[in-house]
Amino acid sequence: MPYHPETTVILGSTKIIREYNLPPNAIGDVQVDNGAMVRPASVLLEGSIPSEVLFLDALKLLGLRRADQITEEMVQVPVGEVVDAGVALLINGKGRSAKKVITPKRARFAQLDEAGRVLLQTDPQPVVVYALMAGRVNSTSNRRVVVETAGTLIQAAWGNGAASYGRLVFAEEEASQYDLALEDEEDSGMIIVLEESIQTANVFQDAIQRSWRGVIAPSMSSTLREQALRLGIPLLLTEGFGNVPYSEIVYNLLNNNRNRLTTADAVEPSAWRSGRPEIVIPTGLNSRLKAPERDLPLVAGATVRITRPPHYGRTGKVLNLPESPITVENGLRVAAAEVQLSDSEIIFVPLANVELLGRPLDAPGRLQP
Amino acid sequence: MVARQKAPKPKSGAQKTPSTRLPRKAIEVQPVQSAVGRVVAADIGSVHTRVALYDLVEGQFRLIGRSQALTTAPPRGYDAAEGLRRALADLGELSGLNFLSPSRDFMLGEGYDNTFVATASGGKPIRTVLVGLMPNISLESGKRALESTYVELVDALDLLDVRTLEQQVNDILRATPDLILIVGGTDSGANAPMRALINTVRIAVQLAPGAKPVVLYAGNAALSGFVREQLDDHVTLYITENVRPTLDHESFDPIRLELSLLYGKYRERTTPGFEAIQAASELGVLPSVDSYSNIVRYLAATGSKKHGVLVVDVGSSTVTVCAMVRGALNVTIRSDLGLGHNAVSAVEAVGVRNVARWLSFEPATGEIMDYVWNKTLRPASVPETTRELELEYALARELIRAAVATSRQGWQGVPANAPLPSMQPIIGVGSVLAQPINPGIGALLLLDALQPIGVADLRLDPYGVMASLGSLMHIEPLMVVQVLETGGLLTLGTAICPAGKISSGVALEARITYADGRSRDVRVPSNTLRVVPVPIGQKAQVSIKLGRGLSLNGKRRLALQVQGSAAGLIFDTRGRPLVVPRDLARRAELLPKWYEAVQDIG
Repeated sequence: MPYHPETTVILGSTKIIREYNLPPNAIGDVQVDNGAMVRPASVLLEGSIPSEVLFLDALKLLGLRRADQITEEMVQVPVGEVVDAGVALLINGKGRSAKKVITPKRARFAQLDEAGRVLLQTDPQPVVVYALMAGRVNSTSNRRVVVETAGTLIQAAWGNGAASYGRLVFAEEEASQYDLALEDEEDSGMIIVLEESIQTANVFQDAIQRSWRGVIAPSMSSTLREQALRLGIPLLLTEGFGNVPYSEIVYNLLNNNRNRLTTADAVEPSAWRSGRPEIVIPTGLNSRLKAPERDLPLVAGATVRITRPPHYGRTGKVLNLPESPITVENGLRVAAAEVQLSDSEIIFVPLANVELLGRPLDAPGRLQP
Repeated sequence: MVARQKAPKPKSGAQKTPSTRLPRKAIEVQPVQSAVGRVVAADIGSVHTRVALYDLVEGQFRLIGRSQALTTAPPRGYDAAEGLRRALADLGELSGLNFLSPSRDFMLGEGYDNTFVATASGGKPIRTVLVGLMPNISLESGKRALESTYVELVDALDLLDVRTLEQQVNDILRATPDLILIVGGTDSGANAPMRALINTVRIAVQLAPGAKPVVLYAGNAALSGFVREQLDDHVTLYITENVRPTLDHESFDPIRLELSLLYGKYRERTTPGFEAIQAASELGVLPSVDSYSNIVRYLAATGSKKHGVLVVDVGSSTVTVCAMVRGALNVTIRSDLGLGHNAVSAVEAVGVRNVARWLSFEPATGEIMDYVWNKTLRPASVPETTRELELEYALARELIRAAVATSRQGWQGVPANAPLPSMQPIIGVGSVLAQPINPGIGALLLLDALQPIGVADLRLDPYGVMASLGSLMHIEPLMVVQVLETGGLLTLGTAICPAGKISSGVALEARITYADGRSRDVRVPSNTLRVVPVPIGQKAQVSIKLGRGLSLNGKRRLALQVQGSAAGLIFDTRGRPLVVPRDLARRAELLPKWYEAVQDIG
């Protein structure tokens, strides 16, 4: 029976479908129509997240002793209504000596409870969801928009939670890019590709000082993770933590797409949530391209990437899937695949340590994109 | 689904399977007349979905086969049912039976000549706010109850909380709990403070945007009506028996049952595909820990009252300890410990230094944290290098140690810092224990982590079936009994672990007399591990004489009979507490010797 390994999409040319949602606790609407063409800066969804709850001691403010002393006449604003700052919700008495409960900020009058407290939900925080890439809206619902494009898609191992877009520039040529005349604001930022693993925080200072829009690196010391989370621009690690170089296949794709407008969506992976960090390099809609295959069995001929040392990040082609378990370097006996690496070396790799790249089964087994 | 295995065939006479020699009588049972025939049991873990097929063979229930596939729930998958389909397809091929229709619908349950049961342990833990009266009384009881299922405690409120009501409500709203558990107040205790806390909960749930949390009330029974009045209109409310009806009595069974049922409903709501599995299963989807509890109860009931029973499951996202101690069942799930999804929080909990003390090399700066971060990104992957394997074993030891230490806080009558009380058996579950390079390694990890004293009966769940097998107790208890006796568990070994310590010289002399009359004398120096083979299917008489300063069950001389086992008869004279040298050079010399010793069964 076939084994279905995990898939990390790394494809030079594919249909790309991205789903955008409002955060679960937000209230809001879709801002685009089905079929509309969108740019990276297009707003797809807009809404707000209810913020803090404020308690006002109405008894004290009204000079009362018991909650049952609050009469209907004192209530000036219906419960549930949103009011601006400075509005009197309750008034006890008349004229200058009247005692009032006044909203300290714009808020929803949520409740007047039986203990004589006024509960306010303060003005909600706005939420805006941008497209971050060019494409066409292919479906919408009340909290969700799906945008389609085509181009290069690289799923990364880790991201710091931020998202942005800009031109893909390798670090060594970054300085010369400042001289370019940039007419379009969308093209004016750079997603910087670092050639090596991040092992010190210096790169974060560079990113801020030089106003980078995003950073792509093969790996990073996990000791820098907290700083990376506070960076404010997207940081994507294509391989993982430690000091691991780029997979050949990832490096070549980045290299082949220099200067292209790139989306860096550095979703922070969660054990319990779908969504992976992705680098998207759109090249325009192409109806002939298919979406990546994400659910294929492992078969001879498939191109795989290895996810653990000693061959971490190497790609190769599956030659054979032995029926019996194989003993690996450390003595473990495991189900394994016989894989020919890009330099022709043939090795056995535990099935648990290979991943497919999203190619269809009948795609040519080239190791380079 | 390449990772599959046929269960051991039933053997007879001298070729008995290891677990046919479990010290119980049920081997003589008569052929079964049962309404239940073929059973398919599934366990959906964080990484693997495992299925097992049980059936009647010559009048007795047997494990017929098992299979596994990667779990296909988010984040890596989209539908938990797909992983189950893949495992079932493989099991079908293995057994010649069909559990899927041509359109890949489940052919499970009453209409298909089988019974299907399912358990689960993976998935996002239930975000829980615990509300109780006193922090060291009712909140403690609430925490103990929550340890029996897969929860993440995100906030706790009590009478002594210094936050204002406004802060408390905002904190509950920010925590976005899935469950609010309210405990507190003895059944005849004061009502007013509890009413105030319940009022706080009411305000918070009323103001919560979107999906409201479920509320489970297990406090002062006299307030049940008030709780209904306050909360019933706003949330899904469950009321169960008071977890602490009097100050000196805790009652965990009712609340644990409610939490088990809530877990199934929660997974159904939050995990795509679960609804289909829940619908096909005879009992819905129960937490795997419920299964372990059933097996521990059974083993305790059929074993000697002098000993407890201990099950430790080291998973990807949780470590579960199920222990019967002095007649009381103790269940602990550490949702912050795991070897995959929760490897980072696990190392943060146990400390990098504690992991490093089990390594024969000096890890590079950040190496351990880099390793565990990569494990969380790819929890299904396995170590290929010796260095990584050693790291994995080091983690496993510390995770077991930490989880058992938590569990021991609830073992009544056993001081938390006393040596481990006698457990017969100690059962290890989880890939890191059950599929090492040699059964001896599994035994070594258990010995290092638990440090038992006396005679320890070590067993493993090699096929990963315990998590679902125990749920069959609800349907056909005899099936569980017979499966356990016919290959369900692997007898790892008997470990002789004297109490006390001597620094040098011979710690122990033993004569092992086999059933065929052959005998073998061994002299075991102090601070040593030595293994003597007792082939599976045989018994041996062992007489032991201990060196001065050492004892077994308070004696210096002991005679006992041991069963044949996979790892053999293990003499552990390393002393208790076990000291792992801080000096790297000494550790680098010692640890490989331990690994070598437990594999040297010749």
